Amino acid sequence: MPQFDTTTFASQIFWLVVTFAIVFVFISRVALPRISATLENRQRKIGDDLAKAGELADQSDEVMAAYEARLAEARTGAHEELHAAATRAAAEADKQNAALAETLAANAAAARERIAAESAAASSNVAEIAEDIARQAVERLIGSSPDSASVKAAVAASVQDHNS
Amino acid sequence: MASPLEQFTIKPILDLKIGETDISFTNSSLWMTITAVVLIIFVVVGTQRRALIPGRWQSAVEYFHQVVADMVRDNVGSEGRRYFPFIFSLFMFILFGNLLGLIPSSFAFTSHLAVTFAMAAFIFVGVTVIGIITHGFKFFSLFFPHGAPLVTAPLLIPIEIISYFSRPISLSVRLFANMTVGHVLLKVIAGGVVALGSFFVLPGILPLALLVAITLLEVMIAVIQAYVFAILTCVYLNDALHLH
Repeated sequence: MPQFDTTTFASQIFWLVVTFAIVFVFISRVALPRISATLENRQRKIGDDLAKAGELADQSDEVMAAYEARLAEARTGAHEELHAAATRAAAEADKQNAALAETLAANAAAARERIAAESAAASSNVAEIAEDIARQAVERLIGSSPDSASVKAAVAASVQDHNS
Repeated sequence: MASPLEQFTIKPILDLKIGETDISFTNSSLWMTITAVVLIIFVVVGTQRRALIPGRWQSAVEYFHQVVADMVRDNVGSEGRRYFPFIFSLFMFILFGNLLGLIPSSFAFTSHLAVTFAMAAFIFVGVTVIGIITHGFKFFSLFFPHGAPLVTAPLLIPIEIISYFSRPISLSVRLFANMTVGHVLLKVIAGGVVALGSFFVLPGILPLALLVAITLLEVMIAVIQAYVFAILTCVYLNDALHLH
């Protein structure tokens, strides 16, 4: 087996040391620093991007919260305004209602007074008519006209009698 | 037909000597050099753009980095970071050597025991030195399992010492044997394709199909053995750093 030919050992080991040393120098001095720098850069970039994204998310949350607050404020303002308007309208309506009721009450009172006056006038007219009829009836019956005072008294007594 | 072992012959390309020692540049050295060049181009050019969003090439380099970084973190912990460049280089060098060695008519330098044993011995000595520097004399408590009854010491300590010293042997033989057997198998079955006739005639097509399947298997083994070599290095390093 050529593997056990000891005369080649020195050459193999010599060239192994030479080539491996060169490989080791290039890898440890050139390739690995580059790879670690690249990986570090990438890690940093990812970290930065994540941090930035987090910041932007926070900002958008803030804006959202401010918007919500403004919306709630506007809503309560609108409610208050609406409430005030409703109260004002109710007060106005009450006032108008009261004024109308007063006017109506006054009108009703005036009407009642007028009715009372009319009815009083009417009842006094009835007495006069009754006296007239009574006088004429007496004239027909007895041919002479009775004096007005006695007729009045008789009618009044008759009304009194009737009323009681 | 040439022996299936002929492919492992080391042929000098350029004769060199330091004193009495023969350090000729051979086909093995050539493929170590090619592996080093391909690997350096792969990692250096792949990381040149340092893009935030990596392209395919950069992704591939970062993927290997991730695999080895996870391996070191899971098996050694944060103290293993100092040794990460070495383990990453080791893994990539063995991986590329194994894979390039599968190219027909190339040379798999990882199929030579001298190479794998040199790496394993370096790791063994390095890990032992790290262990002694980290823990001083306490490092030798590694040879007696924690919590075992004291009477078992005469039995356990020799076993632990033998198992400790067989680490470089098992580590190097595992890689060398896997690569050698794989290449022998490919060669034998490829010989069968030729011996049984044309690619399209019935008896010849069966070893050809088998050859395709075994080539895929060998690609898998090339990756797995590089991974196993690196992960065992991590495990030994972890034992040295944390004892047990």
